[in-house]
Amino acid sequence: MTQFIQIIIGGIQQGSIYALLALGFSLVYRVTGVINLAQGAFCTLGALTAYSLETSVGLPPLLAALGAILATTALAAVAGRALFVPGLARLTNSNMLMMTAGLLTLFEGLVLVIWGSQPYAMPPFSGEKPWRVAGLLLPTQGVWVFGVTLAIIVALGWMLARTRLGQSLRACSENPTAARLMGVDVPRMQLFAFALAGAIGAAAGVVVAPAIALQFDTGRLLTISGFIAVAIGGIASFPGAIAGGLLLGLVGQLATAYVSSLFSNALALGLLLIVLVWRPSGLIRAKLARRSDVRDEARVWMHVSRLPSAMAWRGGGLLICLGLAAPFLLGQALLGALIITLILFIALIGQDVLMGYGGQISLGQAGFMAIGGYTAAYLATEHAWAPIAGVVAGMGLSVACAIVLAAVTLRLRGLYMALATLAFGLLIDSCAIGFDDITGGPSGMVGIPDFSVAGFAFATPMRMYFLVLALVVLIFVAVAGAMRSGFGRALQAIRTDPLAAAALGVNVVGCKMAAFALSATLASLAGSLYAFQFHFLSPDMVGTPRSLELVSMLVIGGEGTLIGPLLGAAVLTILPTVFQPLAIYKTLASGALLAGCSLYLPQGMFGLIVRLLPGQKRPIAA
Amino acid sequence: MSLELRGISSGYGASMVLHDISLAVAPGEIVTLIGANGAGKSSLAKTISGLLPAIGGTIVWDGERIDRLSTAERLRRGIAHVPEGRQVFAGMTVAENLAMGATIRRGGRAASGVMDEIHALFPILAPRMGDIAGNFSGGQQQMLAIARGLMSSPRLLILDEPSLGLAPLLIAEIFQLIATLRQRGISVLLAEQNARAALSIADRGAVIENGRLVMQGAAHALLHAPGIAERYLGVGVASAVDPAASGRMAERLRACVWNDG
Repeated sequence: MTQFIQIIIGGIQQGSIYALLALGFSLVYRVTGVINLAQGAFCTLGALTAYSLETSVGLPPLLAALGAILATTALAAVAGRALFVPGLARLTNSNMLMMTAGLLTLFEGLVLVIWGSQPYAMPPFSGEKPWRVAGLLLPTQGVWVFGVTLAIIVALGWMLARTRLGQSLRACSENPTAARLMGVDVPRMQLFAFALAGAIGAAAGVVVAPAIALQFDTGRLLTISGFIAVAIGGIASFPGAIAGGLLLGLVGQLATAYVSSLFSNALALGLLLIVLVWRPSGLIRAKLARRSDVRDEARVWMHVSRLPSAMAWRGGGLLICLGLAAPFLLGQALLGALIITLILFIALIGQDVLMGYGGQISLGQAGFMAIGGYTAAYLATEHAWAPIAGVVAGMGLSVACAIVLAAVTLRLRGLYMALATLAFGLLIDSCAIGFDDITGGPSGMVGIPDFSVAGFAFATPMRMYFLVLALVVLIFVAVAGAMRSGFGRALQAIRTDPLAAAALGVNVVGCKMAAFALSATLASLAGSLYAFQFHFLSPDMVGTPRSLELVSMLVIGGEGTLIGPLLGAAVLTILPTVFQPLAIYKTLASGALLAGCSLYLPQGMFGLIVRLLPGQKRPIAA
Repeated sequence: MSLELRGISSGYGASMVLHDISLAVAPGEIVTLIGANGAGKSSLAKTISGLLPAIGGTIVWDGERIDRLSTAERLRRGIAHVPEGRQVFAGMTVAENLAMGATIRRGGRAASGVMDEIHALFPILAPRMGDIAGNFSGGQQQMLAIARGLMSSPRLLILDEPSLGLAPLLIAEIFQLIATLRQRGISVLLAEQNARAALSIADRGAVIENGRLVMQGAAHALLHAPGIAERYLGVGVASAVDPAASGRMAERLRACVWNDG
């Protein structure tokens, strides 16, 4: 019994942090209609700033904490002013999601540049010795976490319910147009909400830091946990966010205690998937508040740039010539980077079919890479299957998973679809770590043989390169053809308006399933090739960070065009190889690129190239 | 306190909706804008309140150019806009909705006496101050939206389709209310599809077609102008000229129905 209560206490401590994160998500979402993926990064920034202020500047702990919260809030305000709020007026919701993913990466890069990649351990505020109350051990930091959470919840609740500022914030969340008519400065309220979410995140980071090991990518994990918490609880209500956080914390701790720590994540994600399918708007519904302007619809329509066909043929020919000549011109390192670019391009074509053409945000593409990679590698190493048979088996398994995922998530759109795919990716992540008999666990799988077909081994980079190049050309031509057929048009119709598409006789369910399956097949193939290329596969090579990177490549390159992703993949893969000494800035740069591209080049680099070409008319702004 | 639009053009992005509109509203006057769905009535209302920027032309209020000012600034100068479809803050209480109406007043409080006046004008609101606005019926929400618009003590109230989706009895009540606003010295610009009701309480009317002002004049004159009657009042040419025509039409219809059965 004592043990059970002890676990509950741990769960409440964990849950308090999730609740704070969820509160930040909910605040920004309610005022702007956007999920701010950078929320977790505010925690890391706050905690590390406090650490530096205390150790390097020598401030007393309380002052350091306050200073850190102020500094993080200021940074959030700058990012909000420069990127987030201007984006709200110009971008679709999915591009806003990408922009916040860019902000997350940008902040991560900032942490990497300032504090490096090593983990930091911070001392608890009131010593290591836990309090002993009625035979129970209360960790002092847990009391701090709980107290600060409670204080923030009460303060925020009071501010929203009782003050004029809070009233204006709520008015913006209820109905931005009417709020403007009342004389409320809506962009300023949006900025305020964003900065306040930064402050809450920083406060959460400062108090939780002693309870966890902190490093540059902790923000990403916190973002994901908070995102899950808020999705479980219901994003449109603050009590929902708090309840979701606590529930997630308790489930996590109980699962760790009674099942296995490796599967506590998987259980939480299972919970999320069930909630998403059973009650997509979360366990606790908002009081009433059907948003009067349905924010899931695009505020802005995406314009897809296309090359005139004569130029496209010439460009394609040039690219193929370049592709054939490249291995003879490039050094070993660059050739390696080029192979990776092409492999990722295969996965990206799949992502593009789903996201650029079908309009379904997918944040779990790397999950299918993992399925393909691990299946092929496991069968080839442990059961001596021919690599090609392993690849095919991986594709089969991926398609099966994709169809199940698609069937389960059919009703979901936009944000919830993004969440479900994210949960799927994370589930695969935790399986890759958990099933260590098959996957080798966190340390990865070694000794994967060369890819070979009928005894011919693709053992040298040169051979591997031409294999991948041939596959890319084949897939590119096939998918380009498919996108010009009825299937491609049906997908684009579904992206624009599923209801109208269905009314025209498009088989919406069938098309979505097919797009999912095609996308998963390509990702799976890419994952297998990836494993054979490196002769090694570990969870962080094909985990959720990779999914986010794929999405970045797609947005930077230009979604909805087939060649755009190649540009994105090339930029994010080859540039870091060329600028190896500047590797520490890679994350910072890719974050800045993603955030900047989503704001200034919503059609990506490809759109920019098309616009800069002579004889192109500028598209009329809608 | 007069409003004067001189050659206003406006639109969304590259597509122009309003072309060269000139219109004036004198103090204490009710002017109604009539026109078909999509003619540009709402866009004109939004352009005056600043939700939509004017691309060309000027808006003069009280001798001052206001077409570059923000919505909040225009509100401070006394122009309030009650938007189409009511747009109350559905999750907030009636009291909070009203309080939002006074956002631009110093300290966020309505001028003294405004609250009493609102209670007098809208007796249904007083007992329900703590209720959530989203639970109200359409007519109650419309009352609340107008009351909210009055909280900033405006001198010009722009009402966009206040009769939209309401039962005839409620429409009559709303129009009666609008007529009483004039007695309090508030000018009203009323955009309405229900042209007959609007013209019957207005001093003057203006007709918008495809974003252009095609006719304006005294309300009673418009009410009897043949083109208007046919297009906006639901009356055929014949019946507008000859009052007995609609009776004959009804007679013919009845004959058709009974002969069939």
